[in-house]
Amino acid sequence: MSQHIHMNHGSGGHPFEALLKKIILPAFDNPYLNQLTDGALLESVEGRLVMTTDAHVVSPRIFPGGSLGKLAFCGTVNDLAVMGAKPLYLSLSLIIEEGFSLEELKLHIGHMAKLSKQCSIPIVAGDTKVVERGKGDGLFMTTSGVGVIENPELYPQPKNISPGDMILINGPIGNHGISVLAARENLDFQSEVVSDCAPLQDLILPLWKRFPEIRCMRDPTRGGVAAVANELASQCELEMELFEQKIPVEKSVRSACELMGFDPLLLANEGKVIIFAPEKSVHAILDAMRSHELGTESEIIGQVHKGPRPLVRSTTALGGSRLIPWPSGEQLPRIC
Amino acid sequence: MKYIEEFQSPAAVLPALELLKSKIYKNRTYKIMEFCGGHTHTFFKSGLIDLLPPQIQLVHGPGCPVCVLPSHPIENVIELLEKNPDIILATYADLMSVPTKDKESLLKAKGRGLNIKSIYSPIEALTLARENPHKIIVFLAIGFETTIPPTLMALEQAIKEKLTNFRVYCNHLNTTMALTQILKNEKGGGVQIDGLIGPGHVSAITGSDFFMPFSEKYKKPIVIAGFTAYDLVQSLVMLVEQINTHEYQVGVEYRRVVNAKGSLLAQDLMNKYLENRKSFEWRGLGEMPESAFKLKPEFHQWDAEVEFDLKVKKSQDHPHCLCPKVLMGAKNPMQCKLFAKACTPESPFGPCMVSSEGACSAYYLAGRHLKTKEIL
Repeated sequence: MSQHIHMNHGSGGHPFEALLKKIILPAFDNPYLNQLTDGALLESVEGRLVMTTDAHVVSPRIFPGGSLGKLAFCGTVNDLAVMGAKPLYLSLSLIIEEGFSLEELKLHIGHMAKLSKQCSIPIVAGDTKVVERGKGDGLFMTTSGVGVIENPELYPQPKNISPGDMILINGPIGNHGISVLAARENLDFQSEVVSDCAPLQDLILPLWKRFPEIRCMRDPTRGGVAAVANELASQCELEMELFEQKIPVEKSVRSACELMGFDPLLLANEGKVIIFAPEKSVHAILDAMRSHELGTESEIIGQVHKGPRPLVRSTTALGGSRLIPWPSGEQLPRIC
Repeated sequence: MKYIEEFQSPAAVLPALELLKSKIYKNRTYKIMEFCGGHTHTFFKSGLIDLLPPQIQLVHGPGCPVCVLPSHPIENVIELLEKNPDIILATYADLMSVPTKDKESLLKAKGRGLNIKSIYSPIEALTLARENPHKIIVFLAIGFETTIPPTLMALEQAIKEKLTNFRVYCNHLNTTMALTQILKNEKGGGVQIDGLIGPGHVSAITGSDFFMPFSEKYKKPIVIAGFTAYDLVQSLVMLVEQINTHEYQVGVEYRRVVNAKGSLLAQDLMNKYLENRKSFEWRGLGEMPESAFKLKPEFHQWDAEVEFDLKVKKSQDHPHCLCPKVLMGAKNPMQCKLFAKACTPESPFGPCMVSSEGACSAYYLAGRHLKTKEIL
């Protein structure tokens, strides 16, 4: 097998079969995928189904703490988990640029397969397309996922959020954003920051089962905490107050932000969940979060208010207040 | 990081604020201009702005390099790229969204397919030049003294490597002329100030002695400050002390970075490669003699302006955009009709809303437009 992807790998002939049989099937090895039928025949489930899809592109594809393959798995699993759904199955579609290294493809598939086995969430269906050189940026991975909510009447959703609710997060923010930025070759900037990329269902689902009063959960990925808070403030027509001093940020992330002029609230996360919960159970939820390895540094970072206008504001350490805007495009390093 | 965390903490800032309050004469105002946009943002982002004694009136200065750049360099490069597909333009990401009069921008032009790369450091422009030997890489260099050394180091490296497809389009500005203009304008009915918070990073290059002639000529105290909340309060204390005793000296609050003579290495580079332009038009401040730099004639082979005959044109701003007045400290963003209505960070009309150092962006992010309605 040649060491790079060529156009015939996508044409359905022998090269494609070799790719499938030598790399993809052995990695994901499960009875659903191994059927090699046009669609995967799955088990019957009881409850309400949740489906999600996420296209993943990242530059660079390998960064401290993660890779595109890991990201494509965690992104979709976390989207299901924050809906209160147990992730059951994932599909994977690959768009590969002609000339892409087979070694690197194996790496991304390998990272995804490892997590898939660890979490017992099989990749049951897939597709591969090869595009001509210059018509894709190396590798795009799209995952779709199906999960199940056991109680069809009860699931976390924005409309449950009420004034007085508290806002929690399971640990320090901004690590993913900074680790990817620092890994960019063109950036003359080194850091030890490791991405937080992780599947969160083991933290989230038991929490949701134990505290069904949780109103809503979101994973603050692209656009960070600022995007989630603004989105929900506007959907629920409520005001979100963030306690700036309480928001956990690692020292190295804060240093990078100071250096580049970034706001940690706007940086992407791939292993964080924001939880909205009624005030009366917030401490019990916080304790439960902190007792899980993915939530040891959990904090209460804000509160929902019935403001005159939907917005997000933050109270600063000095006691002032500032508006947290919708993220507008990528954050730019300052030049002065 | 040590200074950043400690100097932002209430434990450091609040006692300094008490000290400031104790120095203030209650029956007068202190009009103080913070020259740097970075300082403006610290005042707002930290919430310090709400805690200052009412006698302190801040006037926001023009120290935002993206904001004061006229629009002709942007228009020029877009025109150049449209005519010449063999050119790749490299410039700082900060500049990408800055609108021209017609609401065109480098970001939009890139979307249309023009060869534009946004970079974080001029070194990346050199990489582009090495990787694309059949293309010409034009680095649109902007900024004050702070960003000049990286430009010139890239140029020096290009010369050393004989990267003959590398060009600099030099639009670097000379901070001192902006200072002169502001202080001079005072006599001509411009904004009146009692003292000035001097630029921290620019001073690291030029040295603090550089500001002494200004302080003396215009009889204004200048205190060069760092970028944390504590730095700013401490610099206000130093200014208020001088104003109270009618002194006017150059003080340095930012001693951990700024010394009297500045960076000699950077100054040598500037002397080697650059000369003053006869005159240059700044957005807001207008035409000012010797207020910008260009490459010396002996480096013309590396100069995009010479090779492609890029002309300095009269810039035109949107008629309702108050950026020019905001940059002079003559108006504040709230007085602009467009502010937070038509003009937002997503859809900016003027550069002060685009740049992370612009005063309009600082006001917007602090929610000033909501504050008047007593929401924040």
